[in-house]
Amino acid sequence: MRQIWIALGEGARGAPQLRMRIGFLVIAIVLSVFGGRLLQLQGVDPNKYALMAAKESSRRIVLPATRGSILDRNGSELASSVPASMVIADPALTRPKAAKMARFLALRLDVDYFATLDRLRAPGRRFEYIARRVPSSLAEEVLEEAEGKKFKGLTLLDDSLRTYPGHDIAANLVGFVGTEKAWAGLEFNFDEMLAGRDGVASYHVGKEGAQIPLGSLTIRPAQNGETLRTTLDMDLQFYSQRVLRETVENAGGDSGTIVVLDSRTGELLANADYPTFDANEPLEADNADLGARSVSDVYEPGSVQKVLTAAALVDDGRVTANTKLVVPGSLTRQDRVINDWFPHGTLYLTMAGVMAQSSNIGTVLAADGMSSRELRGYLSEFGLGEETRIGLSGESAGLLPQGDNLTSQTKDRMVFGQSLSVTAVQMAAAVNTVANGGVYVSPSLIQGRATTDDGVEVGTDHAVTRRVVSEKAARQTTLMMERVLDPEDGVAPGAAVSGYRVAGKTGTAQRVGEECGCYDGSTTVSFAGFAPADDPRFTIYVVVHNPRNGGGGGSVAGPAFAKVMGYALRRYRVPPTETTPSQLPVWWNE
Amino acid sequence: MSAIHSAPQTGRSSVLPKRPLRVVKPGRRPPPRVPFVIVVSVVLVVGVVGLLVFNTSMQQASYTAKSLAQERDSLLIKEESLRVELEQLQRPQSIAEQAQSLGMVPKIDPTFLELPSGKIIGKLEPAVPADQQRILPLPEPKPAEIVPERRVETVIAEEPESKPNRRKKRERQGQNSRAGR
Repeated sequence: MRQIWIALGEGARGAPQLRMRIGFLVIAIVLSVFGGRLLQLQGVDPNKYALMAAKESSRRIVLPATRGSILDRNGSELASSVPASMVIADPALTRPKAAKMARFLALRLDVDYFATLDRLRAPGRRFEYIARRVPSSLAEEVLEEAEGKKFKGLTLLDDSLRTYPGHDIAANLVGFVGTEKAWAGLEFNFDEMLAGRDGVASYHVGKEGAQIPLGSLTIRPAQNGETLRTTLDMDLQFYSQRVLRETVENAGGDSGTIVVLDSRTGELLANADYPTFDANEPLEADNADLGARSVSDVYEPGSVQKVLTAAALVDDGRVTANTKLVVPGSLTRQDRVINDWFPHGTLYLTMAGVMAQSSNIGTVLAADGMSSRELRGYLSEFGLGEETRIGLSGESAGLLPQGDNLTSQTKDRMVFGQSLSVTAVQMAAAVNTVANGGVYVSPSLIQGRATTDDGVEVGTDHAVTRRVVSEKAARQTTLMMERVLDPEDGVAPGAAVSGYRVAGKTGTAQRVGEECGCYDGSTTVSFAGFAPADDPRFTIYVVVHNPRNGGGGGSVAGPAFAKVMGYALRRYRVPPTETTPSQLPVWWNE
Repeated sequence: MSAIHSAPQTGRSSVLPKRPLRVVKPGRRPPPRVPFVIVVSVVLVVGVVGLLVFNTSMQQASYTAKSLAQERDSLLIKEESLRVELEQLQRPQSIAEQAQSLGMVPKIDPTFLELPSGKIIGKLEPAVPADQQRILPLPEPKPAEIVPERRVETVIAEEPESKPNRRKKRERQGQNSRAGR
């Protein structure tokens, strides 16, 4: 009995070791399994598992930046961004009903049927764009309908849609944005500033896509684009465009421009180009109509140029408004004969009469005392031959002859607006110098300041002023210009705004045809002027290219000028000054 | 056992001064365990339940937040579509069209009424229909003739002839038409 106990006791003494060994072995096996798994997870393919985990529970969404608006001077939107949606399909879910869905989507979202069908059936894909920049209300509607029809696999994501509430209003200046990038106008030139920067948010989600509270959330907020405020007045712009369209259509012209400047600040209140386009449907327009002709197209200004010549001559002390000139029927100068627009014998005109009757010969004679170099200096100060830098791309500098091209014959033609070319905005700013008491103000389109994508700062803050002619010279020129609208002695009574003193000048220039590079018989007619003449507030320049009704500056552009000027004066509540109009003599007796 | 233990005691008693024996006060009874367990359980249960409730309410709040965010989005979309509609109505073009449909005409020459003197500045003339501004483009010019002028040629039917004759005739006609060209 005792021996058995001992044996058992010995056996019992050996058992813990065995148990421990077995225990350790089990632990070692388990640990090595863990170790192996750890090695597999962390060593062999760590990213795949991390990705799988992240995919399972986290969402990363792009926070689209809202594109900045383009406003007129009163805050009305010329271009604005509205929230929109992109419609996304998951082909894995849409494949079974692809054909029906494609038909439905093509009808409702105006997308291509075949392209949509391909996308809905794209093999191995889980994400396909069906439509972008769909107005959110429409997108929601379509998605609800799709759910009603038991179409699965469609979702919406945020997007943004650019709209132009005014359609064609200022379209040539504002430009437009395509699906991916800006194409023209201010939209193109200030794209970086307007676009802003998209942001990103990533967070963990539970079932049904709800965000897990206290889950990790990282956000880089979107930087919305900045607002671009222009100096334009939407209503005046609209009215100018309608008047311009009617004028060009009635005259049977090719194209036209109306520029309205605030005489004191040089701000562009309106800048109408015709033909124009609907910025919401730019693809329907002719490519040539998408830009701003008022800054890109150059032409010979014709007799409007006489305003600058007269101001320069008076400033230089060569003439006064009363200088008496004997104007022959034609004038032979070295290489060619200079004629007036109307046949006449010898006329006895004052300088004011030369302006009122728009005599080329009289102007050439009056300018004989001034050298070509001096004249060019004045014109350059008036801003000709130099870009206006109002903030539009594709601007032309015009052409002011210099060096060997600047002969005395060239000068003779320059004084009445030939042998040099300008853009409409340039010419408007030049005439505005006379309105502004002889001080040139560079025109501006942007209020305050803004930087173009090329890094050029533009805007009213950067407007430059310089005195070109004396105040006295400007006043005398104005008085001479008033005579142009005289019903008896002037050539453009149609430009008058009743009750107001208006100063202006007509222009009928021969056009250089594109094919022959010579004067082809077509004309550019124009009228530039400002009112009230004794305290100018607005400078307006109307140009119509190639009118086929035989009209001149006075009959075609004059009435359009009067309409827009009357509208501007009323809109900005500028009452007539009620002073005595210019009575400068036009004729003199030998 | 008791013998072994008692030996040093007697030894110590022989060294230490002798004290009279007295009754040892009964030691403080261990506090009853039940309340402690209850307190701990209650704390535990409250904690766990609280955490659960908190978590649930957070989850609930997150769902509420999501549905409210959806509601906000749909309201924003509604606002935006109304704003677009408003913009359309405010367009100068649509206002001008409406004004014209009411028979209104823009006046070219402005006239001012000065207050309080009542003085009229500018000429007081009513606008005339001729002042009307065309706000729609002219219709696209149509070609002068949409249907080209009909060309009518009168051919006198000939009497049927015998076969050889007809063939000769056809040959002659062929020659003629070639010559005509």
